[in-house]
Amino acid sequence: PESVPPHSLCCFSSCSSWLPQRVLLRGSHWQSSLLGFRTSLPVRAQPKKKKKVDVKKEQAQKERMKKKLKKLEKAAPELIPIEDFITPLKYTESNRVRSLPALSPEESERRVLLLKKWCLFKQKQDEAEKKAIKALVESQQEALRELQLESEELYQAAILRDEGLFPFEREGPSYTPPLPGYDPPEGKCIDITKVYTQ
Amino acid sequence: DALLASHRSYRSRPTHGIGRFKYLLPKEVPKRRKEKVQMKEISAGTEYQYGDINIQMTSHDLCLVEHFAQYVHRLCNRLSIRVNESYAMPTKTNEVLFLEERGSKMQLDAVLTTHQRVVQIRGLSSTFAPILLEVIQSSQPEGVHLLMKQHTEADFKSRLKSRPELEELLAEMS
Repeated sequence: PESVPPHSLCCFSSCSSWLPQRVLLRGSHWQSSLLGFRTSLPVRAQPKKKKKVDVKKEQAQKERMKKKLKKLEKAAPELIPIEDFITPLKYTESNRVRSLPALSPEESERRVLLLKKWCLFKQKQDEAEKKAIKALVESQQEALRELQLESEELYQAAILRDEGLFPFEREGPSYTPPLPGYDPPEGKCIDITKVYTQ
Repeated sequence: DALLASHRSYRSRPTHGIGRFKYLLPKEVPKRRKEKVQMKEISAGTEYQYGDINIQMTSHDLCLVEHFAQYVHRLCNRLSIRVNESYAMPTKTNEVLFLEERGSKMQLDAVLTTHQRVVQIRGLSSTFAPILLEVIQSSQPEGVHLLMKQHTEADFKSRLKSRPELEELLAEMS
């Protein structure tokens, strides 16, 4: 039965494809199904009676999760223990004691003199470093003073911090330069670090 | 009357304070509760000063990297640069396998441990930074990889244990 929709102002095309037409033409939002007015698909399933229980269950579940979350968040985060500072047990279990041989007086004399020489060497090294730092700082200050006398703008620009300085990366020096034409064997690295979880 | 006034001490009587003894015992230091690991504020620094900077030293040799870290720390103390923290990052262990010349089996070569020490400084002036860099570089030992970068929250988080349950719950909630 061709029921007339409420607003049939613009039914300009033929009724060959009436289904999509009807969907487009439905002006009222009360007509939710594709079929005509007051018709619906045969429904044999049980009507949804369990709505309340579902909502309650969901709420209860959410609250449980929130409580769990609160409890976990309460616990402070822990730092990963560093294996360097934990002595392995095998070094504390055994009772063996090392017995050192007795030193002759010449040997102990030699050692003491060597120690003194080393102290002096280190002192000289340290003083040289301090002197170098002082010289660097002084020359830098003098250069900045001269720059300030020259032009104020350049001085201000020089004082500003350098954004390109960090991050700064440098590999340590090596004992020997890399061998030319060295063919390393193929292999791979597996990371076996212990993963700690809280 | 006497039952109610059993704990009262008569200040005029010579027996006043006759039961006191706690003042004779040595002072007990209150038990320190476990301090919560909280992230300290990261300063951004001004135009003429850098904020928090991490000097990270990585190496396979433990003693070398420890001594270098101590040297850097003492150097900063001597140059009156404020050192926030000086800590160690967790060690990483790597198993190195190499392919045998004749064969397809991977053979275990060595187990290497990588150690990292971090010295965190604050308030480095822009004019002094290159000088400090120069000094540290000149005394850098062999095999020690130096990295200087700004301190971020991610750096701090990498020191903490991972909490998979918390993350799972958070993912479920949202």
